[in-house]
Amino acid sequence: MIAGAVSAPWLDAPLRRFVQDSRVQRAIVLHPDGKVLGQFGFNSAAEVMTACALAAAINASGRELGRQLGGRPFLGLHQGGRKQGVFMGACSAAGRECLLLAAFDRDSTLGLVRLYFAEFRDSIGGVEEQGVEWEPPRDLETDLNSSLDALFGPIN
Amino acid sequence: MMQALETVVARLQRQQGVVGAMLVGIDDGMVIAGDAGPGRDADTAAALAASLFRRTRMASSDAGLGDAKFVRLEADRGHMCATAHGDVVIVAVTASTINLGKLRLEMLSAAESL
Repeated sequence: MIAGAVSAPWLDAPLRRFVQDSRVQRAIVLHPDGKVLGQFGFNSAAEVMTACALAAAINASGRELGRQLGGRPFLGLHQGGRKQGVFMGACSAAGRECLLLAAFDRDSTLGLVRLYFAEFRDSIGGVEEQGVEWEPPRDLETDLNSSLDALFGPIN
Repeated sequence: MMQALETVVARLQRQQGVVGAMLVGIDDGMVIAGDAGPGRDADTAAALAASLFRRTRMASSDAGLGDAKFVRLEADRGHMCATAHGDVVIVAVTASTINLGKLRLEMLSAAESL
């Protein structure tokens, strides 16, 4: 049983399974523009907001760097530390691109995270468009606030 | 350095009954050299083998048995054996019919040579 996971309905089961199998401490699924779709392990909207903004920026930078270096954008990224690591991978659901950002400690490894990310990617890749309600894109701040409200409730 | 690692893998792969041999990073579970054998995904095998070895080592330590030296997983159609030296896990995927005693000595010797 995993506590602390909050996600869009179509994402809930795959994200829980990913977290459980890979033993990551925190995970977040977002659109490349920073709009959050689901999260596990974050305690506050502010943490999620920060993670989404940074992940979106890292993704944009990494893609551009990939384009400049090899002509193709990078699809994954890993930052390894002594005690903690961060992994970010691209996937898609119902025809729209998503990113998964996961933080893990020595209870897991990059190999395990990559392995179960591949399962997660396959799992949400099979989600039909009818099962997903995408909100029309608005400006970044409005998008971010509405998804944070959905996950954590409105900030008073 | 890489040549020495490849030599260790080749030495294990020459053993009768070994279908795959790999060196895997213990901290990241990624393949350093070798493969898991025909038809097997090396990345998957490496990630799971490194995780198994790490967890067995933790369990051994927690049980007061000290450091785990050699781990053998017996399955329906073969064995998976692992030992480690420093940051590297040596993994062998074998047929059921293999001489496990000989393989164990070879793997411990390979670990020493790293």
